[in-house]
Amino acid sequence: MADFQIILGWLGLYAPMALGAIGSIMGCAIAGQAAIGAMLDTESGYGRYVGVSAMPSSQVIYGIVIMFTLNRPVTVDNAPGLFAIGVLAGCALLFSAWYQGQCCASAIHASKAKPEIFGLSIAPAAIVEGFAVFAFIFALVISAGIPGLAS
Amino acid sequence: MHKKNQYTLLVSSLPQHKRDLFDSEHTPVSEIQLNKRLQWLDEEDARDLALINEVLYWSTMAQSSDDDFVQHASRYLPQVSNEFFRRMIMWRLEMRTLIAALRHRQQGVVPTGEDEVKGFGRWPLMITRNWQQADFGLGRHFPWLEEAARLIDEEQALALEKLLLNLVWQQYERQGFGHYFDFEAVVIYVLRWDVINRWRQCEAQAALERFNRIVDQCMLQVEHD
Repeated sequence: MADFQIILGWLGLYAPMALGAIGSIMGCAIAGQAAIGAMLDTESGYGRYVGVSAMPSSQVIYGIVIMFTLNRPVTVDNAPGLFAIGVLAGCALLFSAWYQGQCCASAIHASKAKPEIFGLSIAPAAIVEGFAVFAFIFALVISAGIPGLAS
Repeated sequence: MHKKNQYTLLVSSLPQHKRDLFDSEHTPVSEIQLNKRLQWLDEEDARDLALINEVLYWSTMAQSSDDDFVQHASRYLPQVSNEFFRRMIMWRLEMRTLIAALRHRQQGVVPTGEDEVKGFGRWPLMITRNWQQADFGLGRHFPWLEEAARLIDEEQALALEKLLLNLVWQQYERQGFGHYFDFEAVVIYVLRWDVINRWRQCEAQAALERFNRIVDQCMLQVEHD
């Protein structure tokens, strides 16, 4: 049982990074395809399409920071905490990146036909980013209560 | 890639349709370009799109009887693998059933038996039983039916075509809600493209008729001189 708990602890340690990366891969791939598609249909504005399509990459950075914050010797005492925070924060980052990618794709698709709405069209993606930031900040805050961090 | 985002690249590469069908002066993308883009569909989806075209394309069946068309569509419809598309096709076929019935009635045809009216969906029997009513007793389900009947009776072909194409256009817009980058979005785009194309062809036909009238008038004038 103790070994299993230790495994869960390690899983939680790496989960924010891995799940955040998966989310960013999915989000950037979706938005990136929309950007390439838009380039085929327009004569200008390529740079901003590519810029928007990179928005979901921030989640992997949040994941890396959470992973380093959680990083400590894994013991039976702190493994459940590491697992819970790591996996839940990772899931939040994964889904936020995924759906942010969809928002970015829609923004690119919409602003292609109506360039004047470009700024406003990325607002939904920014709101989704806000939720990822919540998950990130509170993972950092709550991780301070997990035992085992060297002082 | 998740099904919902399977065709992000393809959909994004296509110019958007205008909201109002009659604002479109031409199709947003040429047929050649559209077909090039559709080559990005995977094999199964390309097959489904071909099947949908097979069932819906009026032009391929224009010389056939109602019986032929019913048989043709009945043969191909079950092969469409997606329930969403089967419902969408059925809506179009029901609409065509109603219009065909209106046209038959205008030509003086009176059904002699309950299976006389050939068509699709829930309404052939209802149509037969309410043959003499302007809207076949279906006005509650199809509010446009009475106007379509009036236009057919008055032989206003262009106005009727406009009414029907606009109905189809709006129906596709409704059906496309919630589909942005998936195969359904691609099919709806293609079907709406067809609607614009048909409308442009109507105008071309009207222009040709007008041109012919003017030429005839000029020729008459020349003969008088």
